[in-house]
Amino acid sequence: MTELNPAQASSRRTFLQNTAVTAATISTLGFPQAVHAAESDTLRVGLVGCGGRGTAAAIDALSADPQTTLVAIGDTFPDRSAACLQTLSDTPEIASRVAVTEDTVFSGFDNFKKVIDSGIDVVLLATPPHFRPEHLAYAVKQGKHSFVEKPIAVDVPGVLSVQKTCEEARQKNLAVVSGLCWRYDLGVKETMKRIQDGAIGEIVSIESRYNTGTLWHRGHEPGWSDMEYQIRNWLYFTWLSGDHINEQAIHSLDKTAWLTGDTQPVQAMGIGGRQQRTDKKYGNIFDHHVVFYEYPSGVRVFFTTRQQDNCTPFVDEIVMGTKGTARILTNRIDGEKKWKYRGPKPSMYRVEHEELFKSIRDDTPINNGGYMTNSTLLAIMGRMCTYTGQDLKWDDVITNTERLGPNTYEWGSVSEGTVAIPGKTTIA
Amino acid sequence: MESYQAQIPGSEVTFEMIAIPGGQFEQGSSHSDGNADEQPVVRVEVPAFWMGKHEVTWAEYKQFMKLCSIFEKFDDREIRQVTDENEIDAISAPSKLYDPSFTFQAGEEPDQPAVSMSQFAAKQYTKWLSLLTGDFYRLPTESEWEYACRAGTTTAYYFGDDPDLIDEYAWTDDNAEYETHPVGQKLPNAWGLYDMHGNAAEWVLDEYRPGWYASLPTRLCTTEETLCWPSKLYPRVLRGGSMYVLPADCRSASRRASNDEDLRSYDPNTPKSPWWFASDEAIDIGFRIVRPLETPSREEQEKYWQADVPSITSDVNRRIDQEGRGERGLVDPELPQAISSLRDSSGAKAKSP
Repeated sequence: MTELNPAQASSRRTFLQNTAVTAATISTLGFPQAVHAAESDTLRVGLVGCGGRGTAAAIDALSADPQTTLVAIGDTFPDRSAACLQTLSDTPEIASRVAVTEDTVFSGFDNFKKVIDSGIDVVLLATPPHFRPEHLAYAVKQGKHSFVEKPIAVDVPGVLSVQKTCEEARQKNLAVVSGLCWRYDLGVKETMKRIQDGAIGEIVSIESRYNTGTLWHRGHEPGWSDMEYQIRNWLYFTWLSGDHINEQAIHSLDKTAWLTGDTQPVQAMGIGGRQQRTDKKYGNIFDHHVVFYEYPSGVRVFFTTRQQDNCTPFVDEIVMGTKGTARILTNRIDGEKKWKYRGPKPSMYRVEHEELFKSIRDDTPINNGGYMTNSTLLAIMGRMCTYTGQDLKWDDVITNTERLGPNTYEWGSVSEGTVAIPGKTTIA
Repeated sequence: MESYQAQIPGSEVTFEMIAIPGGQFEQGSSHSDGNADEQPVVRVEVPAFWMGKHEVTWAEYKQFMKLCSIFEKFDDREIRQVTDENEIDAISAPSKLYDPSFTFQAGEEPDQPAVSMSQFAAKQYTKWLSLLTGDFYRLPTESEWEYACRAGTTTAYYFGDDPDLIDEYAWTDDNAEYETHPVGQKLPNAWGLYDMHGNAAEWVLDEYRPGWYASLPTRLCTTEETLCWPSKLYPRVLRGGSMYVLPADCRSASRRASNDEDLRSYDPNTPKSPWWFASDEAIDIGFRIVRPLETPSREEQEKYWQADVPSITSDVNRRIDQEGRGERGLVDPELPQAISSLRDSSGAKAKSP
């Protein structure tokens, strides 16, 4: 092994001292699993959700910190975890720290419990978002640090549950790092900082576009039950994904939330529907949503998202201020002085894991619970407006008790939900 | 042998191919401003070929990009299926660009160079164009590229040695404002090739090895001998400077090594796309096609088109078969007809009033 440089050596020492304290605290609370961290300075990682995003997150986690080992993985479907393990083993930079064995690959609906109970320190949660509140609650209950892919829920009760869990994590000194990755992008961070420092004056309004092409579909193999078909094609079912406004365009809404100080809008108006996405194979989600959000300060967010082929794509936030405009993803400011970020651009996916592990080792665990729940609520609010055709107030949203999806998970038939029709669909 | 203009079958899109006479030249740099990887110079005999007058444009590349959703529709209707027997005539079409905010950052006008594709995607493009037109197209070798760029000159640039003159000839870091520009706006070289010193960087077939020239024989070499066939995913050679590159590195002999891992670092999924780079550092990467005068055997042609390392094939298979991103399909002269029947059978195309 190569020698540690002084900075690493010192953080290792700090880490050992800190984990000793943490372990003592935790053991009095009755979470014996967490003492693994104190036994060595290796952090043991588990992955729940073995798709492309989960696989990439595992590589990012192992690459972010040299003293990590992946010890357990889980996915509802064994073929997905097998493919994931194959990819990880084929990735030379991290393959030697993939210590998953036959006994620590889990499948079925309860795979998350088995992964979390495999003596891990950190869990990566990357399943379809419907399952996230339950997974995160169990991880925090068992004293695990978490990387939580976006979005964190598909309905209001799910978000409220995650808010509660994040508070519990804070009390237990556990990290909860969100997969809203642009918060960790150096170019976006610097652009945001300059806007906050007044580079375009006061923000008047924000035009936010997440207009893209369409995504994958994984077909319908003979022998798949409704449940299997829907989970494998989870994007297209509102109970699993929360609709594309939640599942994908949350990246944009999260940036508008960041620009408005992660506060709550007073009310919103929404228009949406599906015009290209009419085939039954596309479940019940829309293919476009337009939502206007009004903030107490008077700032308005004009948001559009579209997933249609052969239409003009455009993804960015255009921020209009009293003294100029800015484009967030382009990292560009046209104010009194023109500016474009030309600094380093390390992968934001890598950076979020570097910061997660550093915060664990420094015993200053990051907790992104505030913005990740607020931004998910913005997306759900938008969807409630576009599905119903009603202007809704924030209070109408946070008091909504509708839980999406079946109450129990088993292979067999499951309702895919109906396509909402504005003016007819009501909020439960 | 004459220069010609061709149409992409099934479209209105045309492209021009310039006749490049065969000849000998010295590849690399003996100038003091040359980099170590351009030395020593190698003497090469280059057979005649045609080369794209311009970098491949969005107008051309989008014809290829459309195939993914077309192949999906063939699949839904169970027509033109790819089987073990006909697989040799299949290509993998790039996945639909989901969020092209980086890719199109400089615009997506039909006359701007297509950018952000991997070398593998560029090679599949040449296979598609070949099977569609019946003419053999491929990426240039590094020797062919430099020979064509020099057009008989031995100076640092095809217009001489003075980098201060480059504004007349190329879009570089000096004048491009970090954006690609419509092709053909600057002055061409003696053979009529445009944008060889800038705008988009251009993929060639070779793996990048800094000591490659030193490993070659000192006698006159063939282009087969000078071609460094890839043995790993990257680095590969990019030629012809770009709008991100300083004029000093836009010379005829300048070689740039790709770092595909960095270029893929904004791709959220693993395996990462084998066709597209998601980082905005890739928005200066494009390509130009060639057609050799002598057409090699079909077997030989495959070498220039296909995935050359196994990891590309396994990533392609996993992206298509498990993730449903990207699609395979057959390419033959009947493809345009099949595409238009697809359109007809899906009902009259909606027209705006």
